[in-house]
Amino acid sequence: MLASALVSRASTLWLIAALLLVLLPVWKQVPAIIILLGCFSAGWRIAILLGRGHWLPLWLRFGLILIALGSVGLSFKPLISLESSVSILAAGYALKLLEMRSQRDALVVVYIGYFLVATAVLFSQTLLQAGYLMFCLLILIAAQQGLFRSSGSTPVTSSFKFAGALALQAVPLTILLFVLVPRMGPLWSVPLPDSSARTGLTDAMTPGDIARLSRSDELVFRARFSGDVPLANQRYWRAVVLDQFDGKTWKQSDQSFSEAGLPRTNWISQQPEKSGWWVNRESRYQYEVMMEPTGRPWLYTLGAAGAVTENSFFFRTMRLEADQPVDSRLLYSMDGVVPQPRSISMPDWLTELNTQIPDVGNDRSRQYALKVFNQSGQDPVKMAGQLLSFFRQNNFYYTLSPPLYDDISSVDQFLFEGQKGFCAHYAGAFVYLMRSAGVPARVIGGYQGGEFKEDGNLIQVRQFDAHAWAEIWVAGQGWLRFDPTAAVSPQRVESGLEAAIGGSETFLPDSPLSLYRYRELGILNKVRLAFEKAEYQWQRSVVNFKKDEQETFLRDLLGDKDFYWRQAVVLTFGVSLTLLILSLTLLYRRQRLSPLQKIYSRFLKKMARRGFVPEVGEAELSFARRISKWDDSIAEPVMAFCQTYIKAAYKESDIEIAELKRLLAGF
Amino acid sequence: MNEVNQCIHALSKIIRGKDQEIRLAVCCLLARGHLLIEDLPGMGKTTLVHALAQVLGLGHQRVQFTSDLLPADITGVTVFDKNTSTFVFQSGPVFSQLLLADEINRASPRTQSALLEAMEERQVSVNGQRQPLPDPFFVVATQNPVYQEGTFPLPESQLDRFLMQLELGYPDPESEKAILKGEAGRVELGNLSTFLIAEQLIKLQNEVIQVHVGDMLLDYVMRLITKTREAEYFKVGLSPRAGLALMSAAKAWAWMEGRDYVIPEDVQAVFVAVVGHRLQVKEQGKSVRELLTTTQVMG
Repeated sequence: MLASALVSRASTLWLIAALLLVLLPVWKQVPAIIILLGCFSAGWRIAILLGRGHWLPLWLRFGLILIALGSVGLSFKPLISLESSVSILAAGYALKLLEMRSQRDALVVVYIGYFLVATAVLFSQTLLQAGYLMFCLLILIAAQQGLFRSSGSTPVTSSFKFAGALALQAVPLTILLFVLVPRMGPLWSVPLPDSSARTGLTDAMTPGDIARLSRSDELVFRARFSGDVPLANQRYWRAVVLDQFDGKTWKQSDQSFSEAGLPRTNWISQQPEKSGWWVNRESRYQYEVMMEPTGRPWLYTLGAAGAVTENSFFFRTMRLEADQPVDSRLLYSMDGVVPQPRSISMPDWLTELNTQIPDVGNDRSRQYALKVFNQSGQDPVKMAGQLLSFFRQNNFYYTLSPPLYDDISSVDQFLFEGQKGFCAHYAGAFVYLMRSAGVPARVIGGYQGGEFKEDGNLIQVRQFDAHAWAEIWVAGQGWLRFDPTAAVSPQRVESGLEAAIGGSETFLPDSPLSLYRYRELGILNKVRLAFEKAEYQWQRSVVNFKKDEQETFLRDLLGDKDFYWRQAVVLTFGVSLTLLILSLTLLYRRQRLSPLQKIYSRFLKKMARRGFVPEVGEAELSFARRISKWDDSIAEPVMAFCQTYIKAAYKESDIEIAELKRLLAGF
Repeated sequence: MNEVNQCIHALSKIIRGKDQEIRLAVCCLLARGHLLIEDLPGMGKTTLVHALAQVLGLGHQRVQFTSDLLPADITGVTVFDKNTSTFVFQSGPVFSQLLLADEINRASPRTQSALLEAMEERQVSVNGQRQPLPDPFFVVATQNPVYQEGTFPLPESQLDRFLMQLELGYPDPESEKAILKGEAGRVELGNLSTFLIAEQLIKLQNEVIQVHVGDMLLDYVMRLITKTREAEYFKVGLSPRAGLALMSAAKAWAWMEGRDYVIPEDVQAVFVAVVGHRLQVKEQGKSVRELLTTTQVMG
């Protein structure tokens, strides 16, 4: 290949296709101007191919560079970030393609393309994305190999086949390196994608939040159970504990424990079972949760128990938190307890916190609460039961689009006027009433239910499973869970949101194409489930195969003794073996030349040893004549061999391989 | 075989130092192709054609093309015969086995196309009547390079009708000396004997068609053709007709080499003559010959 040689039409087309395909997965991260630039560049190159366009002059190309850099400079703050770097790379691809004329330019474009594919992985690691990027890679390989094919226009399918074969050959080595090469920290880093914009539960509950979440079918986490799986109405996944109420919003006050000057050990524990805060009940569930990134630290659990990963700890409120925000997919295993452990201690400061309500407003509710409290003989459990039947017997209605309760007495408004709402309203009002009567109570935010898949013992929880419920403190029994929503709309807890809102409201109004909506269609549902299972496996065993997982896996495999040595030996040995097998296969394939071609290549090797190599375009007879001119000693046998050979090759007479071999042995 | 070699030997005495061109000219006729010889005046074009006709035993006529030549001057005219009171067709020079069209690019395009049509169809239509041309029928045209004044260059589509285009070029000093001495050239034409008759030539032409072409060779030819289509320094690539022309010329060459199968060298030998006038080079300094030295013979 000559560096200055021109790029063939086919290769140019491949590279144009690759540009458009590679820009697709990063379009969200890259400024729109760069995407436009990419489309312009692709269009312009096609115009040039069709003979309708001219090469852009230098000043114009220079101008485009300035536009690209300018748009990156204006779009990103801080300037140095992952997105801005990727944008510059994408702009480089688009602009280089625009001026690509020689093979050398084309190689640069191909390599930028490979790099761009790699960067797309930084933004998303789903199975679909991986498959798509693999496709992009194949296109780039096809483009690259097209550069090295000097002649012959190869059809699209055969280029693609060739690229596929190349990629397949790389698979064994890739797997080996993936499994064995130690994971090292980065030598340098740019700030990773911003996670603040993600949807999910927050640590403050205004009713609007959950209504918003209910509109999304985005996956929150998957839990895989070993052994028993709790029933749907027992699946309360705790995430946040909201115990501060300002009249409108419920907030989480864990952090204020420290403000109260309490030692950390009073409210945080890494070994909850030894903390003495609660005792576990009998029924235990063992499960493993793989959660999607949320950008927040809290994790999802069915209750509090069991040692979990090192980097997480339990709050006294029985919720689990990681030591830093979850910015990438996280896998943790739980030894959980359902319905929940029994708390055994309740210091005064905690009682105070859990009976706090604003001093003003909601007079009617307060009076009502006291009335009910007295009627039930000041027994919190009886009172809770009365409140639930209050919800049940009055005309309360479960809806995702309730009226706005923004009065200073929002609880009164809801309980005695509107009577329409969803979990956040019911839980909030319930806790408010309990607190008004002096019973410690709190709102728990999290997810309820989830879709159970027998295949794999898996539960998938999506954003629309978001839920809020209540807990009250009963001396001697601990925190007890009450779900007022269940009183109003039992379907919500038994069968999920879709059943609860019935036909009156649209389920998932914002995502008409979500596969989840069409799960009644048999085949589609099967496809969806199969795909989600594959996705889960992919996330679990490939994306999540990080440093710790790798070490555990390899220690199991190789044994603990001299572990690092063993790893190094296996790595070296494995890589060499794979390369050996690959080269042997290639060698074998070369020997699948026709017998005639094999003989001739042996002849060429022999001649090469004597210093004769055919020039490009030098045919067999001319080559033989040149040899005989320069080397009398072999002139005769070489000519004899050559005459027989060209007869066999071009006259296609009966090929006399034996005769040719004999002649070949003659010199 | 022998006769053809004798022809070539005899021709090389007339046109000194141009063995390769003579062989190509004979090869062209064996492949039933028309020949275009392009060179400056006085390089022996006409002499070569006269000699060819003589040794091959072909009846030949010569038309000197000028700008006022009319199509009828080539195809013939219908005249009224007073004695029989009928119209009689008087055939033109095109009704000969070998037509020498001298300086074809001096004639007007209209006349040129009349001749070229006859070359393709091997018949002429006069007054609505089809008149078949004799067999064998060859046109050997000569032309001055187009940068000479007063010429009408042949369009590409018509250049395609010629199987080969040859250039004679200046003779080497030794040959030129012989010419000046009077030992070669037109003066020797009278002494030339005839080695073939038309029927024999047709038989040889049929033998040429039988020459075997193998798959490996076709692959090589395909590579050459594809390259002309992909290389950016040609305006347009070779047409399938050009490919066919290349094959028949290569067959004739192989036959002349005494083989009944074609090898890459045969293709290479005729390549420039067959392909040169069908390709237009966009970039200066890129010659058709370069194609041969950049294309692998073995896939």
